[in-house]
Amino acid sequence: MAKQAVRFSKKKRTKYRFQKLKMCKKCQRYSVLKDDTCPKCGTTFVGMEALVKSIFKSRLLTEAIWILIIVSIGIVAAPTVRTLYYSLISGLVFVVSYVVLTSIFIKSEYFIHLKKLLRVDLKKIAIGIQYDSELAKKDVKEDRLAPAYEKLREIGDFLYSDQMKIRRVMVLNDISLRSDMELELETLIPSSYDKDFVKYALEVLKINRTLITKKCIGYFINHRDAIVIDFGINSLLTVAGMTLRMKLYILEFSEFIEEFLDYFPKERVLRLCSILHANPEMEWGSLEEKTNRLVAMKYHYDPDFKRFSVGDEVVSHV
Amino acid sequence: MYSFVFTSLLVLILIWKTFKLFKNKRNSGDFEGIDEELVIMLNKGDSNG
Repeated sequence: MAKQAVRFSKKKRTKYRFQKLKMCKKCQRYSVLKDDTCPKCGTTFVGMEALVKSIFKSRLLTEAIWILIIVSIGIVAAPTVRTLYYSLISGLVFVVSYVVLTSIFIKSEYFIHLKKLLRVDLKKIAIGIQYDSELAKKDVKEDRLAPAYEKLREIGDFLYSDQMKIRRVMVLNDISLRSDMELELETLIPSSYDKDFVKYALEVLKINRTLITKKCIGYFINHRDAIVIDFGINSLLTVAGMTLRMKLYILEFSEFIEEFLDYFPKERVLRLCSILHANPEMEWGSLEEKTNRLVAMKYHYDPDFKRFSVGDEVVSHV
Repeated sequence: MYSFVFTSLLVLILIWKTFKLFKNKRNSGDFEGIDEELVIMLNKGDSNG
């Protein structure tokens, strides 16, 4: 099947995840998608913060009404004019104190209300995300891959299960990936070997090397046997080559690099030599020795490697 | 006597309210904590795969 050429819209970014939650007051359903209106009833969604604020306001209003009732009763029930004035003054002082006290603690009160709402509505939120997930499934079935992925991407901020990750990866594998897309790799790493993920990772690494991380390299090393069976040794060679992106990765995965050193193209060996040469104070272990040997054997007369050599000897920093 | 009872009632309400507000402030964490808690709770019973 030919891959779909699509364009993803920008991911909605919020400081906190809960800010992405919104609710349709008519259906009493939560959603994490970018839509402004409920796909069921067309009502405009209310954001989580607005929802908490409205609940908080109505609680404050109820409290205010109770306070007024108590103070009014106290004033009206006063047996004498003197006690009436006395009650009026103490009532006023009470109201002012109450308002000041509430306004001092308004932030923590808002916070407590938000926490309470999230806890109470957790089941509703889970059901809402389930519904969002169904919408994404429907999009995939109808071959609308871009909206399906965008939905799964938003849901993925809340659900970290392997199934969710693989669903995203499967959609991405049917899309023609480009470097201008906001792609993710580390967040999609499943807990066990998955062929679809490796296929996606290898595709992503071709277009954006910066996405390779320690966790990603670790995944390839941990599942190397299965990866070699499914994708051939070249896939591991590619990853080993990308490990040279940072000197910390070289230190961490030096044994893995050593295994593939002999098969690296000249440009990768050159990069490795540059890093080793620029950091003589670091303990590179047998990797440095093996690299020097390789350069001495294979690139002895190559002018690009001359700067790493003194006479005929390759510089050894140990 | 009436004024004393009424004022005492109002003071008691104020004390109770202050106690509640302080208790809430003590129990309130940070927004990052809320985020984490939400994600943990959602992933506990996740069946959306």
